[in-house]
Amino acid sequence: MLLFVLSAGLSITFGLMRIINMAHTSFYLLGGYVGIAVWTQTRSFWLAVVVGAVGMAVAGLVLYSGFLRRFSKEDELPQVLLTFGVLLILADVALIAWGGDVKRLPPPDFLQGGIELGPLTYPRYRFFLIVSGLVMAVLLWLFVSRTRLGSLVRAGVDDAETAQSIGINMPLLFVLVFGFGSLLAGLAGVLGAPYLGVYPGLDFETMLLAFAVIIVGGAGSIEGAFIAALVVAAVDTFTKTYLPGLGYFSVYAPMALILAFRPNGLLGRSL
Amino acid sequence: MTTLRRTIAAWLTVLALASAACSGASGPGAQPQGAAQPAKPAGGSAQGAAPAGEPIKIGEIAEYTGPFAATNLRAYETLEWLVQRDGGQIAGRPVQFIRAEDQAKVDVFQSEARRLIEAQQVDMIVGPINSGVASSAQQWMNQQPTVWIIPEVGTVHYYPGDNAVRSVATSWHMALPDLGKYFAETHGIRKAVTIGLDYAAGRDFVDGEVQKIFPAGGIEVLRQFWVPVGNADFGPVISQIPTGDDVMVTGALWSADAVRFMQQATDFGLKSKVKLIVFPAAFANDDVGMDTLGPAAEGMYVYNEMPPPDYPSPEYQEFVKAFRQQFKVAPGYATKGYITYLQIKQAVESLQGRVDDRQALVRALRQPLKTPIGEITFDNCGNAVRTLYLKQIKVVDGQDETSLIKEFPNSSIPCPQPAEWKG
Repeated sequence: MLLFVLSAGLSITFGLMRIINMAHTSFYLLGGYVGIAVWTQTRSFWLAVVVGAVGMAVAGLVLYSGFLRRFSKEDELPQVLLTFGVLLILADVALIAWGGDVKRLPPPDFLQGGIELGPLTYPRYRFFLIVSGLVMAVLLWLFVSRTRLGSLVRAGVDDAETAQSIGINMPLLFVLVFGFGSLLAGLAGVLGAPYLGVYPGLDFETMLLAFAVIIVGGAGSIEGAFIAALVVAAVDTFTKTYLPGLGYFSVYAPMALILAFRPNGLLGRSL
Repeated sequence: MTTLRRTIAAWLTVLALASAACSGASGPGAQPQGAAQPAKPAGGSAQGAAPAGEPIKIGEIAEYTGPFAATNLRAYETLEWLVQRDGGQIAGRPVQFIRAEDQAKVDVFQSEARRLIEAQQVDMIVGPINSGVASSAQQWMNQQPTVWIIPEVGTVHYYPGDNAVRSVATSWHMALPDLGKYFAETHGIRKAVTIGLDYAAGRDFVDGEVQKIFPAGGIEVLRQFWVPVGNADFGPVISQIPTGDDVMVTGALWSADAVRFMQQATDFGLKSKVKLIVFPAAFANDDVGMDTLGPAAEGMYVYNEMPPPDYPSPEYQEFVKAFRQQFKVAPGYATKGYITYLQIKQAVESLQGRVDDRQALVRALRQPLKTPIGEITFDNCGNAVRTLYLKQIKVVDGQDETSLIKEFPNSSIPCPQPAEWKG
């Protein structure tokens, strides 16, 4: 579910704007760090979630307005290189600001510990992540498929030029979508902090998984991101548990298959 | 069709960049905070006259991003800080530290080490730290015109060459039969489950437990699990662990993986379902990650060559106090930097600052080292003979800290290197 929240933002951004934002997981990392910093000052988990997510939305808007909007959507390679550079810079900035220690955000008291299920104990926070991920998936689906703003986004994904010609303010829509995508990355970062911790290199570790989800699920598709997140996470977890020798590259297999036989992903639109 | 080709090309570029960045569980190659910075004189804390002359150049090589970033940085920050406390000098010569990142990749390690040796002309290199890098690059390291100080390479497949010395306790040092007897006799352990990081050092440590520790205590191995470095989710493993009041969970986990395991073991209720959770090496460091765990870590055991903050030595307590003031945590993994500092200081002072003679420097570095945590000697292979500490994590003043349970002195590794360990 965490992977879905992280990837959904990337999927929407790429689906609508054709921006391959390599720095997306930087917002995930920084969202976690910002959340922990807020918690340290306020001891409020929920404020940490809000500030971490909104803070990354602002950071995303700065990245887009300051740099990325200068590129046309055909400039994939310059976009990739620019955002990869941003990823490297933010990784070092985070290392300088927060050091090399593993940081962890304590969840609220009622989400700590486990729930007894007969002989099994299942962590409450994981239940919370599953439920909140499902809720978010439904809300995102409703937003994209049932709201006016969602229809504008879909129109932009299908044909941005035509949408612009009929009066949709595409530049504003681009800004909003990029900010929203960054917000989702920051949100995933804060929500993941109690479970995975936050540490240097986490951005790179999650980047591969996030892009695997987009490739498998298809850019611009919330449903695709949801299904792909489940598939990629399951493949990753099961191989790391039962075939650890394959754990380092198991996520490449579904990516390679999809790129070979269905380059637009399971549910992605033709680009 | 052209658009499709462009899309695939763009994705392949993304994947190439992503996989290049992710391989070796490391991140950017950029140097971290403090990189290539000379040790600055420490103002009022300086002892003696201001240093003069050419600096002694000390290279520090390791990975500074990824799961091992925190521990590696802690060791080197401590080494640099201790030299700064001495006025940035040893034996009257200024000291310059130059960091380089190997990204846990052998090729990067070799190119970065070559840069340190040829371009920076360092007098000695501390590192590498990654066991896989060290064992793979061993022959190459032996041929280099520099001196290697190895504060952390736990695999038995690496042995120091004539130009190197290793102060860390290896997996073999920690495979003490006395530990097995202690667990069986003191805690009634009869069965064990192991979880190991699936790479050279992790395999070594678990092999040592299975071959040396468990048989000595008559402990049966129930299950063995292997996880890759950087494993996010221990849930599937934890949920399969057999439980019981005579079961111990052990293996080889450290750094970010150990922090995640400790938290998830608590969340899944594992702590209350087995008798002991006890890991060797850098499983729980007082200075890296422990402050974020809270009750999750309480009661777990760890054994290694790093003494706990409550180690009963007045001199060591002075170091602990100064360290707490500087870093706001108790020292743990930092003791690797502490021992390296004492080792370099003793060697360079015995040579009166003349470090040009590499052979003399290695001999000096291999001299017995009297430290506040006991004497460390070095065998003919350049490996340390030293004390191991069994510690339990307790809550002290609201913070998790390790506390001394038992010492196991004179832990060593066979010399010469047994044939089966040679690569």
